[in-house]
Amino acid sequence: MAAGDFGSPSSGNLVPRMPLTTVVRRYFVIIAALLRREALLRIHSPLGSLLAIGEPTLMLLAWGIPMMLLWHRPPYGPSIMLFLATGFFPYYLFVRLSTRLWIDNPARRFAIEKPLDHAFVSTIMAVIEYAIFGFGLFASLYFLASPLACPTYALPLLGSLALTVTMGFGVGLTNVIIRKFAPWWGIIYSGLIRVGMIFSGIHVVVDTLPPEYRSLMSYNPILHMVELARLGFYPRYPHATLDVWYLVWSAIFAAFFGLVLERALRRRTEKL
Amino acid sequence: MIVLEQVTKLGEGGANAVLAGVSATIPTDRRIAVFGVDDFAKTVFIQLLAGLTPPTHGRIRRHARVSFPVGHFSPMGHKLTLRQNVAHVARLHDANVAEVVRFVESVAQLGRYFDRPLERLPMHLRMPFATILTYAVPFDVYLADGVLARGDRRFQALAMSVFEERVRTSGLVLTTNDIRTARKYCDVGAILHRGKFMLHENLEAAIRVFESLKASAEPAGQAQQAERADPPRSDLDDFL
Repeated sequence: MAAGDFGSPSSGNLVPRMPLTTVVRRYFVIIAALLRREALLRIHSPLGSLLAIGEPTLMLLAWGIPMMLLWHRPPYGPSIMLFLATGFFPYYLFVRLSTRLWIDNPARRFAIEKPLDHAFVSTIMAVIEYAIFGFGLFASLYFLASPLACPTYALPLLGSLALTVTMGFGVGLTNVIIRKFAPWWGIIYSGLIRVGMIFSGIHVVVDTLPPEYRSLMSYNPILHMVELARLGFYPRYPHATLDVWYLVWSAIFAAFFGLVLERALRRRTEKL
Repeated sequence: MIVLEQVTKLGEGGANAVLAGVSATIPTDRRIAVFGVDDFAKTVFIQLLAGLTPPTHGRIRRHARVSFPVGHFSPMGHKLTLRQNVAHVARLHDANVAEVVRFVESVAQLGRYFDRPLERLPMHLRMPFATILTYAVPFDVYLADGVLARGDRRFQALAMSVFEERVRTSGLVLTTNDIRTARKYCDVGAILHRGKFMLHENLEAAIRVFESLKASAEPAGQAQQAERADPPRSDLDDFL
């Protein structure tokens, strides 16, 4: 046989097609393996996870204690701590996802792992971390502060968290790509998102603010996450500013943009 | 099989194409020796097949369970124990976890290190461990960049016996300049030279081409001179 007589890509009939069920099964095997390794790594080095839940806990105390001492009356509901926790929780879930998503470069992973597998795994790990943290936080507040810490309506709360995760994934993925070209972007973004906390309606009932502030703040999708999450705890929470569809479309757009950006620039980012 | 579709891979700074618009189908049930005078190009070629580096242009499709390069170490979790790393690699590649762990534990004989974090494993034992781990997972085709076994004599003997067992039923893509090793373990040859890749069903034909290339590249180490020189065999026409 002459040189190169092994068939060419144009002879497509040589390429066996893998059944869809096998492809899906293999995908779940990879994701499950990566999740397990991540969980093990976090058990061995828990500092990152402790920081992830330590910052919201510290912020809750740092804002809650002075507010209790100065204002005495919570902005809404029976407990200042619960009011703040219902705002800080979705906010920090978003911060965690948008700042801590990771994709290893090709040399640091096995060929079977794809860049998006890492992005999905880091998202799932953040959700698991925050599910445990949220359960602990609101269970503590239930016993220490108010029975309202047990959510009355699951749908708004779960809807808010689902949209927070979707948007956090999209923004996180975009940030990963930007950081590959400009590593300093991580520091800038971390600073910006924390300044943005002030404009996210965590410390106040947004509907009580002057209309000009409200209309300006309503451009911030995180504000809508917080408002929607609060409806799960306070059924009569004033939510005239809340625009669920704005939040839905922002989350879909962020996820779509992140995925498109990652795909479009994959060849370039994989070289970096 | 591994299908290369119009694959171009440029070296650092966009110069010296390792592959230049190559389309080829690499069988994964054969043992292929890839020869080439440029060691860097061969390393990049194996990395391309393993997916450790992306092609500059084109696409590589893998229709088989392709191994990571023998002894590939960097994706391992340094905080995890060797046992956990082995289990992770087996799980990731959908292999029998217990079987692979038992295999590596018994073959590598690393004793107490096996349940210690990888970062505490002495440097000289890391590559041999990764080599045994590569062969412990049943792949359709193994990729090796020049070396089939690393470590001291004991480890090399162990690794080679495992390797020989594996290549009875699996394919191999081995980049090498060692003709004796190629003759011993391979049945197909390929040449990688100046961005071109050519498979030869006849290993001896590939060796002849390689020896000619080597002879034309070697005199006085002058690359320019080699370029000017007429190729001694007509087989070289594909490359020069």
